[in-house]
Amino acid sequence: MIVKLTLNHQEKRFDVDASETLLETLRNHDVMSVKKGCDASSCGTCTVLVDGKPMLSCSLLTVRLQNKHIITVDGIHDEVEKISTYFGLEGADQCGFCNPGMALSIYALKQMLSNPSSEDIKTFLVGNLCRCSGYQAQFKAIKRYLGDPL
Amino acid sequence: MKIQQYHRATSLEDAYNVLMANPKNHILGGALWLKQLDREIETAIDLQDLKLDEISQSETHFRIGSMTTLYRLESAEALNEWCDQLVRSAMQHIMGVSFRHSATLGGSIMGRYAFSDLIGVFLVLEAELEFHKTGKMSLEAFLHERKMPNDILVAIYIPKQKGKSFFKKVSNTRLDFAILNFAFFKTDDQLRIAIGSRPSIAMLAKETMAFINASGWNDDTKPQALELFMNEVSFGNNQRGSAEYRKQLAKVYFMRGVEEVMKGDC
Ligand SMILES: Cc1cc2nc3c(=O)[nH]c(=O)nc-3n(C[C@H](O)[C@H](O)[C@H](O)COP(=O)(O)OP(=O)(O)OC[C@H]3O[C@@H](n4cnc5c(N)ncnc54)[C@H](O)[C@@H]3O)c2cc1C
Ligand code: FES
Ligand code: FES
Repeated sequence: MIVKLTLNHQEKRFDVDASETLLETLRNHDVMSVKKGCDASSCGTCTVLVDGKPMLSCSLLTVRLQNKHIITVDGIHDEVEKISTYFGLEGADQCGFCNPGMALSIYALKQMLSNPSSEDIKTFLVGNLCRCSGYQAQFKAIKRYLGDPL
Repeated sequence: MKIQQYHRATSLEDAYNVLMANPKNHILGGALWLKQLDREIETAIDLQDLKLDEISQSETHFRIGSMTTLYRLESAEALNEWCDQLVRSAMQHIMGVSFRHSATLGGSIMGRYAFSDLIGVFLVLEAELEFHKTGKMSLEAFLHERKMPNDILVAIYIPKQKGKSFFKKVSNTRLDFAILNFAFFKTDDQLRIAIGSRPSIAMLAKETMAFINASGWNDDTKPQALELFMNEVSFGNNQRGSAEYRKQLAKVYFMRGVEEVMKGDC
């Protein structure tokens, strides 16, 4: 089936079979910033934005995404730069595997919640797992990023 | 999950006809659960164009379309205001935000998951289900049906009742399935209590509810209510906890939940 969608503001056409997930489609087309972790809707590393909402690409069927707008970290470059800077400053970077998914969720959080409390931030990001960092430094970096204007 | 063909339904009748055409045809909710299954699907039926993701209200009820996501449920201000944030509290215990942007109400009800954090909540809110062909039935009756209706869940209805609520999910980690979950809802004159993940599916503690509703909640009635509750509810073992452990938890959270909703006015 041919699926037409926008990927990082560019129109794309993908020929997919009905079982193919967005994660597979993107990685088959060399969009390697979208990571495959659990492939079971549990870790958040495959997060992308679909029409502005953070969603798990490992469980989205590409055939359902006709005319949708998909954003990966490559589509929000300036914001990702800012997030990475704060991660660096707080020593929150380790292997980095969780970072693309985490960055998209953090960006969505900033768009969706104004003035989030610490608890709001934790609740919003609870689905983005990181096996290295222990979350403390990330949490500080996220708070600094949220203090920046969009 | 392996899907042979994809069908984007143009109407409920169209979706229903495709569903009936082959037992291997299935409705897609968010497809999160379906994805985990080793299931061959001949035709996957997508309801996304049928406007089933809307929440509306009349004077007496909320109507929630079956394709409403769990995230929309937790963000629905009017609904949550009426039920004292009960729906929001439960949804926020189900995985993360990205997950809840996909998972649907329809998939969550039709799966009849024993671990469900949502079913107990809708039991105490007295939800009614609307199917395309079967018509309406209470959620409670649906849970007792031996054979699942081979039909499309269109919407659920929640009567507008102001009340006090308490929700508790006990789990080993924030993202794990519940070892037990509890939903309490108290209106002016009725207390309702549901307990799920026992590890069997959520149930209403009807005898206990009737006793407290008739006799009140005071130092004399509390021990009897607890005894009734522990006799009425059955507990079992699974990988997450033993029946014995669940019983200990149940005693504590039963008392805590009832105390909480009995405090002050609705
Ligand atoms: C990794 C993981 C962790 C989870 N953790 C929790 C948890 O902690 N607590 C909790 O409460 N839940 C949990 N769930 C369940 C989750 O919240 C959803 O209930 C579940 O994914 C089903 O919703 P869905 O929209 O994905 O349905 P789908 O997977 O699309 O569908 C499930 C079933 O319902 C049928 N169906 C869907 N919509 C309709 C309809 N309108 N009419 C008729 N049939 C329909 C489908 O054909 C299918 O048989 C978890 C699920 C996963 C995958
Ligand atoms: S790879 Fe999608 S949630 Fe883990
Ligand atoms: S830094 Fe390694 S998984 Fe997060």
